[in-house]
Amino acid sequence: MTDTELLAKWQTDHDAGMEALLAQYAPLLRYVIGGVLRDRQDAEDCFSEVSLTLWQKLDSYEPAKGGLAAWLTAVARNTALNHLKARLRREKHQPDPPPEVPSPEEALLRRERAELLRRTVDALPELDRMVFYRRYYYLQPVGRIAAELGLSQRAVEGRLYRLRQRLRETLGGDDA
Amino acid sequence: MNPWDDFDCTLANALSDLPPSQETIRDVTPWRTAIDRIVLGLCLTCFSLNFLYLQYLLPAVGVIQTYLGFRTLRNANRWFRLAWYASICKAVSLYANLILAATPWEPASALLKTVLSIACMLLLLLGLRQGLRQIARPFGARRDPVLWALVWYLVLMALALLRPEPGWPTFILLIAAFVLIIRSLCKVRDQLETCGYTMEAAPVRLSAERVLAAYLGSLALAVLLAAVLSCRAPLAGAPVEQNFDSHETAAIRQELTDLHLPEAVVNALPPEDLARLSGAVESTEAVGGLPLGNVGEDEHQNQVFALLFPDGSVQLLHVFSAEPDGTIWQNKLSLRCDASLSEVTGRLFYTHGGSAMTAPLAFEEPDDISGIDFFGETYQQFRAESALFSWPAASQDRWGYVIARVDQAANPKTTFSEILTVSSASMPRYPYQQPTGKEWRYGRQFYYGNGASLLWKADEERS
Repeated sequence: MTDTELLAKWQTDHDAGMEALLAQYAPLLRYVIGGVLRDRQDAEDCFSEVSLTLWQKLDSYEPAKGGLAAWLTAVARNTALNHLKARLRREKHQPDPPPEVPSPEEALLRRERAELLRRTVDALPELDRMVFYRRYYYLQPVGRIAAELGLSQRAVEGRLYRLRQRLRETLGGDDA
Repeated sequence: MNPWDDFDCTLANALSDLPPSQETIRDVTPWRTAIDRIVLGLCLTCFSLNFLYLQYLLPAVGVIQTYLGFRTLRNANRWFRLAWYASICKAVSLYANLILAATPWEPASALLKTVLSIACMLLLLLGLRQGLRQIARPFGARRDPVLWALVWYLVLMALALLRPEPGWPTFILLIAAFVLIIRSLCKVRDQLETCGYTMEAAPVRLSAERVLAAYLGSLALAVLLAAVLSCRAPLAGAPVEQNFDSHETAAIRQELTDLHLPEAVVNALPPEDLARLSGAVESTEAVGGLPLGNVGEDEHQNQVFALLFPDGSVQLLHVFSAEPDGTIWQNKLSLRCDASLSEVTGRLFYTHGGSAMTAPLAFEEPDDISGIDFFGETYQQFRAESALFSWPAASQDRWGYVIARVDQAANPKTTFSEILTVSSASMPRYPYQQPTGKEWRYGRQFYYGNGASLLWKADEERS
């Protein structure tokens, strides 16, 4: 079923639409979540959370802004990342941080740095860019990155080390 | 790998606002790269382009791509693991065959080689088909292009066995079918993109690039080494013995010298060859010699003698010299005669490191030699007694002789004999080839040595 057909089905019947969407994209969602959360139970909880998020947000998806797979990847990744952060805070007995409201200057600075990061990453060779996104967007472990790209773990570690050095030089210190 | 520090966390957080492109998202899967390698490998191994060495290069790249693809998928299910084993067999067998092709040795059994190759390919396709079906089953994918690939391969093999030259229509039909199969396989790859996420890629110790470089690099080196070593036919050289002649051998030498054979040649003949020529009553030197190439200018001119014996039998003695700076690669000496020959023996002489050396010539089964003119047309073909040899590097004063018994002259009045010394090209060639008649082109530099031919008039003069 194509993405357009899936969305049309969702529009006409939410239950059937969501069922079809999950039938098609559950492996992708689980794959993305599994990269961030290694614990099986955590990943299963997160998958339920993602399903719920999709119920709530699928109407806000705009096909003109990008493919459905990319949107679902972003939802799964961000939900899993938040899940991971919450778990780490619980483990360290830390309270939830207050919602961050940046000042206009901070927001402008953050946008400029994000643009610089984008340009730097876009200028990377294809394999390095792939390693970078797998590590920092998909948050995949080195072993998985190596196996899926047909590289040895040491090769991936070497690439990541050089990438970090380069990004540190370009972006400056610990701030990106 | 060190645990994440603040910089790593900042990068990961920053990427929440910078999602990767559509293409990157499409490529982040354990599935795509592996299946792309397999499809590429199948394309490169199923067809061979017989020019620019592509018939060797492309399959070598193809088998290793197939191996790398299945290496990633081998833990997905047992069928992919079977296909992985088959791809290893295929890569090893091709490796060995490509090296063997650089040498004169044939595989022990050509049939076994063919059967092994077909079995590997069938197992590989079977493993791919069943592996894909196992993955696709829960998702309800119905296409089965690998089954058609199996059928296509079987048809190709049947054609190769039954009709080696099937003609253009069949060839075009096969190509079209193959393109359709590959297209269908690519569609299946796209359809199975979703289920590909369920697979776990197998870890590897060597990067794909390193495996590819190691396989192709070591293969190129081994082939080069095999070609260089095979392009030499070493001589069983030994120092010329300076024994004093017995009365008997001294008498034979005197007899042959009296028959106007060159004294230097007669003195060099070992006792066994002297015994063969003992009793000759008459000798006739070559008439109408046709010098081709550079004839040596030392005392051993290119000469042919017919020696007549009391029982009417005839033996030929060819004496030839070689260029002092001739190739050290493989040479082929061919002796042709329009009468049948037997007891063909010969010996080479040269000086090496200041010592006079000699070595026997090892004659093989007679082979066919073709002469090819400037326009590539065959202008003559004949059977010849041939021996392969290589002069030792830095050897000098190279010359030799060949003795042969003429069994039956087709027409004694016109019987002639000619010795051709054909050298191989200056560099080793791939696949291995003996110097053949195809190289014997009039006027080419690599043709050298004795073109002296004998218009043998012994019978005519005798009558």
